[in-house]
Parts: sequence; structure tokens; C-alpha cells
Amino acid sequence: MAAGLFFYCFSAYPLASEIITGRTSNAAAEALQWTMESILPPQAGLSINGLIYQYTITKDPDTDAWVTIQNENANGDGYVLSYTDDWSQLPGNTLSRFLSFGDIPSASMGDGSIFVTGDGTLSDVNVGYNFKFDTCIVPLSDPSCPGFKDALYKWLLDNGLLDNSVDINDPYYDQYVQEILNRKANAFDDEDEELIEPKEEREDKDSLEAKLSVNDRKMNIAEAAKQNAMLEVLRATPTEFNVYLNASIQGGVYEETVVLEDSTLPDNASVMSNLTQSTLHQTMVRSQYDLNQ
Amino acid sequence: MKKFLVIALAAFCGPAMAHEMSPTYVEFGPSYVDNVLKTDIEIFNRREDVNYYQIEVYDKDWKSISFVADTKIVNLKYLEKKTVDVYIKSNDKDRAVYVCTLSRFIKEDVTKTNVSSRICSKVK
Amino acid sequence: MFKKVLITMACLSAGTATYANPVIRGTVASKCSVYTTTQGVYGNPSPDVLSTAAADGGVQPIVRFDVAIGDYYYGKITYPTAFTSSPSLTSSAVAWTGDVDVSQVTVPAMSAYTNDVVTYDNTYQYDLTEAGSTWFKVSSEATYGVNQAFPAGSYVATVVAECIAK
Repeated sequence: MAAGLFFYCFSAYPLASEIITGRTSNAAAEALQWTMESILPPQAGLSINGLIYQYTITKDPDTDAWVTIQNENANGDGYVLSYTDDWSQLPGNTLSRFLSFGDIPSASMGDGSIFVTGDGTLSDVNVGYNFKFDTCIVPLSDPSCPGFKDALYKWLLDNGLLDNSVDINDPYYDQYVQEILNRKANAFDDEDEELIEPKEEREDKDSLEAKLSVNDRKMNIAEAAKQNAMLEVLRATPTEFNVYLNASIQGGVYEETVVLEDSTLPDNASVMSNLTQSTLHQTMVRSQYDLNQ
Repeated sequence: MKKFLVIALAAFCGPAMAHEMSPTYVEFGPSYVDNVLKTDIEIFNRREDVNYYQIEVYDKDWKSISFVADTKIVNLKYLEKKTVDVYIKSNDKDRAVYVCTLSRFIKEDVTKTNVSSRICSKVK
Repeated sequence: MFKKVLITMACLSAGTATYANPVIRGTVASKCSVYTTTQGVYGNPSPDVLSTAAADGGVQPIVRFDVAIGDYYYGKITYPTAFTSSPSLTSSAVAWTGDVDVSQVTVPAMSAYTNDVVTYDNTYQYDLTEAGSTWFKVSSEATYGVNQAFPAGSYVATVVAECIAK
């Protein structure tokens, strides 16, 4: 009973499945015969549940005539839909009619037609079909459709896009996953150990810097009396500065180690050739301005 | 061949305005007042252009018969349905043949040729 | 004992109150509805003529009768013979003509109403023998005197559509 109640509650609030209804345009706009593919939307799972038609028949009141509207059975012989209006011994007029019936799958609806048997002519014919379809008839069409996950899983399996080496139904599946996660967890731990040492060194420096920092004592520095008091304190703690005061630097003479030996320095021949070229160039340039030549 | 349910509807027409009244045959019965008979009629207004309906009672020659109702001119909003009690004298029971409702227009609202509708139920 | 009775009653009531089947009831009774499908408009093809004909620039009013069960009602349509409102006219100088005809049906047999119509004065009476909807178009024309022009202003006339129980 709890399961039934759960199912009822669950089914009372379906996920995003929507029934779309509509009506086709005039099937007889071009001719008195039509194909359903030309007027129905190309939706999967579409069904037809109503027919509206209107026509004007012109005839002699004293003659017999019948007007038939029908759709062939696309899956076999005969007709899935056929209705006849008897106009025998009646004057012509305009007729409007609406037929409502159970859902007929669109795949079963063959070619449609409307025609007169007997004496009479049709004009101003208007034929429309009422249809409906479920947007989630194919679960893969939308992630919000019920059954989408199962359908997606099946599609991935069918197309070989899933690794089947590990079976999720395997009782050891959870352990396998955990082993993979544990490997990654160990790698992170090693990196953390390398990072630890530099942090410790930084803490030593921070302690010396903290002692010398004046951030917390800015106001003290600004006031002369407090400055003097700070200097007195500094003088009273010679231990840190003794390192600098008592530092000895080894002195002595640093003899030259690099000696340049005297010798003849030849002229650079390439320089001479460059100079020659430079002279020639200058002569050529000047010749432009020598108007007498 | 499938069975069809034929529904007569104004499938190819635009919005239509309707006046409805029921039942088709009314029956006068005793009321709480001596020598006064009562019947009730239901009026449904589907005319956006009409808000008032006048109740009438006629004999077979279409002559008016005196009657009493909660109000002789019923105010009905669009898509409103109302049941009205109609009282006649016992003496007029055999004379009364039709109980009718007639749509009435407010003079200022009449701007173009319109259709006045009357529906009559027959007394059993 | 009383405790046992109480427990039994509680079980019974719990057992019977688990679900309810709401029932929708309805009856099909003879009924007539009068619809105004199209309001009429007078065209003014010449100064002395007002007409609802489409060729004259007018619009024919169309009335629809819906009958739930056939052969319970008469449908009566009366075309106008006077203006409901108009500028000041010499009423006796206005000549009225009109016509009512079946314009659309939902059952072929209704087209025979045209043959079986009873006319008197300016009223057309139809025996609504078939269940379904029947549309009636009304034509109306008013001519003012002899070559007299209608004064400028608004002209309104009323078509009366009646559904009378048999």
C-alpha cells in the first residue's frame, strides 16, 4: 500500500512531460486529395483525435448526391476514417461538421480525400485535423523527461561508449572506486610535506621581523618622548646588535691576479677597408651637389 | 470503421454570442402563497453585448399574462447564469402557454444593427 | 466490549475512507440557444438606400440556432421594419424589405428548412426538426421616400431571433 501510495504521489507530478495539441492547416487548400505528411508536424508519437471540415455544395434540389470525406489505412486495406453526408433530394448549402474520435496514430493515417458522388459540385472546402503528441515520447529528447537516464545509459552501452570492464553491479565495485580515490589522496599528502619546510623557515624570519617591525608602534615613533624611550630600550638590549658591532672583517692586500703582457698590437685591416668605402661613399654623395661637374 | 461522436459546434466561426434558457417545458406548481403558482427558469448569458433580459409570459395568442418574478428585468453579466422564479395566478394556469426571456439593450450602447434574441419555454 | 466495538468501528471507517470516486453527472435535455454570429451593418450605396448587402457595402447579420434535441423548437427570425434609433425621419416614408435564409448547417437535412419555411409579415418561421446548429443570414433594406436622401446620422435597426418551444 505504501508503494502504491508512493507511485500515486509520484505519478501525480510527472517530470516535464507535456502533451501538445494543435490543428493542421487546411488540407484541401490545393486539391481535394492530400497526403498526411504534408500537413502533420513530424513529431514522434503523434496521434489524431478530431476532424473539422466545411464545404459548400451546389446542386439541384431534386437530384441525389453524397459527399464523402475519408482517410485510407496506411497499414493495410480499407479506411481508418470515412464519413458520408447525404444530400439527396435536398437543396445545396454550406455544411460545417466536427468529428471527435479516439486517438489514431499518425502512421496509420493514409492519404485523405473529399469527393461528391452524384450530382453536385464542391467549393470552399476546408479540412483540418486535430492532433496531439507527447514531448517525452522519446525519453532522450529532453533531460527532464522521465526515464532519460536509463535511456541515455542504454544508448551509451549500445554505441560502445561505456567502459564495461567494471561492472557496477559487482559487489566489489565500491572498493575499486575507493582504491582509485585513495591513490590520488596519497599524492596530495607528499606535496604537502614538501611545502611544510619552507613554511617553518618563514616562521623564523617572521619572528625576527616581527620584533623589528614598527607597524604597531607608529604612534610611538611619531612622539619624541616615546622615541627616546625606545632608544633607551634598544641601548639596553645589546645582544642582537652585538653581532654587528663585534663583526671583524679580514683585511690585507688583494694582489692583482690578471696581468696584461706587452706586445705589438697590429692594425685592424677591416677597419681600413671600411674607411676606404666610407670615403668613396662620401665622394659620391658630394658629387650631387657639385653643379659644375 | 470507428464510431464517431458528432458534436455540433460553430467550428469555423469567430466568437459568437449566445442567449440560452432552460428548461424547454416548464411546469407551474404550488407556491407558498395560496392561489399562486410558481415555476423557475434558468438563464445563461453568453452575449457580451447584452446584460439585461426581460421575462415575459404569454398565452397562445401571444398576449401578455400578468406575472411576478424576483425582477422582471434580470441583470446578467457575461457568462453568468441565474435561476429566476416566476409566479402566476392559479386562474391563469390554463391560459399561460409561453414563458420567455428577451434580451434588452441599453439605449446608449446600441451603435449598430443588432440582434435581439428571445427564447420561450412552453408550459406543460 | 466497548473497546472492541470502538476498534472495529475505527477499522471500518478507515477501510471505507481510503478513496472516493467523484462522479460527474449530466443530462442531455432539449435546449435551444440563440447565437449572434455576426452583427449587421448598413451600407449606404445611394443617398436614399440603406442595405446590408455585401455589394452595397453592408454586412448581413447572421444568427445561429443550436438545438440539442430535434423537433422541440420553432425558430423565428424577424427582419426590421423600423429603426431603433435614427435621425428624425418621416417614418411612413421609409419602405422596408428583407429576407431570411439558411446560410450554413451541420446536418444536410437542415438545408430543407428553406423549403419548409413559413413566412408572415416580416417573420420567417422554421421548424427545427434536426439536432445541431443552423445559421441564418438576414438581409434588410430601407428606402427613403421617392429620391429622398437619408439625413446624416447613425441608423440602427434590430433583428429579432426567437426560439419557441413546440
